[in-house]
Amino acid sequence: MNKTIRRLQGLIFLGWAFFLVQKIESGEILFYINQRYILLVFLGALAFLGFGLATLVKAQKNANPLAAAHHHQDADPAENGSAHHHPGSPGGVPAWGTLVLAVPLLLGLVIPSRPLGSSAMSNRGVNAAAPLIRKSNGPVTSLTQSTTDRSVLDWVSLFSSASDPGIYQGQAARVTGFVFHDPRLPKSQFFVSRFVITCCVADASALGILVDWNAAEKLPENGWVEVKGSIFTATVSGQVLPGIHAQAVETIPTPDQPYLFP
Amino acid sequence: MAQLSVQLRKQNPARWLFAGGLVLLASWIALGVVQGGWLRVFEQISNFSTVVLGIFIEGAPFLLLGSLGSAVMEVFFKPEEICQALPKRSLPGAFVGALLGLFFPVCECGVVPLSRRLLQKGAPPSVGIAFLLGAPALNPVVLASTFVAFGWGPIFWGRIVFTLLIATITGAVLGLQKDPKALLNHTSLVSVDISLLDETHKTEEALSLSQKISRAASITVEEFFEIGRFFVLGASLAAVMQTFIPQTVLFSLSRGPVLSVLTLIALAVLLSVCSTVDAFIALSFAGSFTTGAVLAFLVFGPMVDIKSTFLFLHVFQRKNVLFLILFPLLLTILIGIFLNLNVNI
Repeated sequence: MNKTIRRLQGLIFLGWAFFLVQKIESGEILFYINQRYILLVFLGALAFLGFGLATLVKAQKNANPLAAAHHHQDADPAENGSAHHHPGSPGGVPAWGTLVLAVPLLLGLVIPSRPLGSSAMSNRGVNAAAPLIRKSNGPVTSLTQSTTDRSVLDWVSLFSSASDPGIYQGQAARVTGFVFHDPRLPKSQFFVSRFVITCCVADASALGILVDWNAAEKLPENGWVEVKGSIFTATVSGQVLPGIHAQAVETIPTPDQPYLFP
Repeated sequence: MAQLSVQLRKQNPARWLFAGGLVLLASWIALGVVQGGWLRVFEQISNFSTVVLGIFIEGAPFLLLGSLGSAVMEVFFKPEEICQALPKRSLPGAFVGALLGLFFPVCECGVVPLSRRLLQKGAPPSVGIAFLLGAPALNPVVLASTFVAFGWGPIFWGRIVFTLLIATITGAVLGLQKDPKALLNHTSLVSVDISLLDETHKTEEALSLSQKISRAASITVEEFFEIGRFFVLGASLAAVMQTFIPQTVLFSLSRGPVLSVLTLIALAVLLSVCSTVDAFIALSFAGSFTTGAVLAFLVFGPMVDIKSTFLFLHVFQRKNVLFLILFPLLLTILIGIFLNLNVNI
């Protein structure tokens, strides 16, 4: 029993190590966390690997009486100590408690990974006020770049920090995002949206630019598009937010980096 | 020292919470299928899985680091060595005690046995109590994870300042009792536990360095599984709230200056998420709840939750436990409400 749980713990650690490395390698890690923490997660994966192997080797040593006798001198007192320390099952964690740590792993293996999309927006709604996080380095960098290089986040933070967003009227825009058909909008409009992630998806907040486009209705919900057009000031339910009079809307594949990082 | 916590952990009601959560989730899915069809349910489950994994992946390195910290403390550190150097007077003692966690990284499960050992070895009561309340939040691992989650913002600094404040005041008040042993209950003072502890100690001293390292590695893994399940539970609940419950429903609960504080404090106590990773759970509330409430979650959560209450009762006298819980609770509520009403963050 004891050994079984130890082995299980070791295997779960190895499972996490491989899962994390595979996500980093495939780039899907960006569906979950901000890119600046990838190194941290990689170090975590290495630690999982190290502790997992150590746990398995130890459990193996103790299970094999010959080996245990062989290593009597270095293995025994340590194991005595920990038996003293945790009578019964290791760490007092029952089997179900050990398996709980495998639940997210199973979720990740069984359910194909997908970035948050428009279905997550119906719960939150579009955020017109750009996240406060942008404050420090926001508008300054956005003003120096070409207007067609500005992202959804750039436009939304420009609009929320400007006293008169009218100054951006008519500027050329080219943004990418997924399609969100807000039920409040008429058929000729949709939101081109992005999720902004500061730390991990738990803090995802949805930003959107209103797009005026005759064929808006035909665009599939949650499909990715590139929108070209000119900026105008839109108002939805009393909120001022950026809008684009679209000249062209093209469908594109889901980008490698579906979220924006401030 | 962890044997005691092991015994108590068995009585933990968390498994009922977990089972209840599963039942709720299952009924929600059933309802969703009836109302919106399979596609919608599949999308929501996918979103749920993405959020749970996001929180877990971001938190796992810190969870490992926290477990390692506890293990290293347990194997290599002897509290009696610092007892003589501690200030004896109540207020300075409490202040130092609250900050002691910066040098001895333990989370809330490890802190109770450690502060008991400090008190048994003659540390002033104000130091022991302030350490008990402050250390789970004011330690390097927790500060790092809070920083990763919130950056240099009002939440990061607020967590430090208010934890320090509450731990110091509570420690100073309880420190007016001159005899440290008056805080502890009888089982803590004269029981097999102590002899057991001393024996373990002897064994530890007899271990060679490599044996100590091997032992610390085992404890790290055990500790990870011990605290990790509460983290998974907390992450799941946070993800359920984000994906299945429309924010308009939560609005009155999450925006009310008083109600929001009480709600997140209750959640902190129920979830018992380890302080090393509670910042990532709090992050998911930060979008919808008031700032005062999120701070209350981060300040009170590490001090008191279901797990630590059992440990408190085992170690300290009942009237002291009551004070230990209610006084910080009151202060946290007042601070949270005050922030919501007067400070525009």
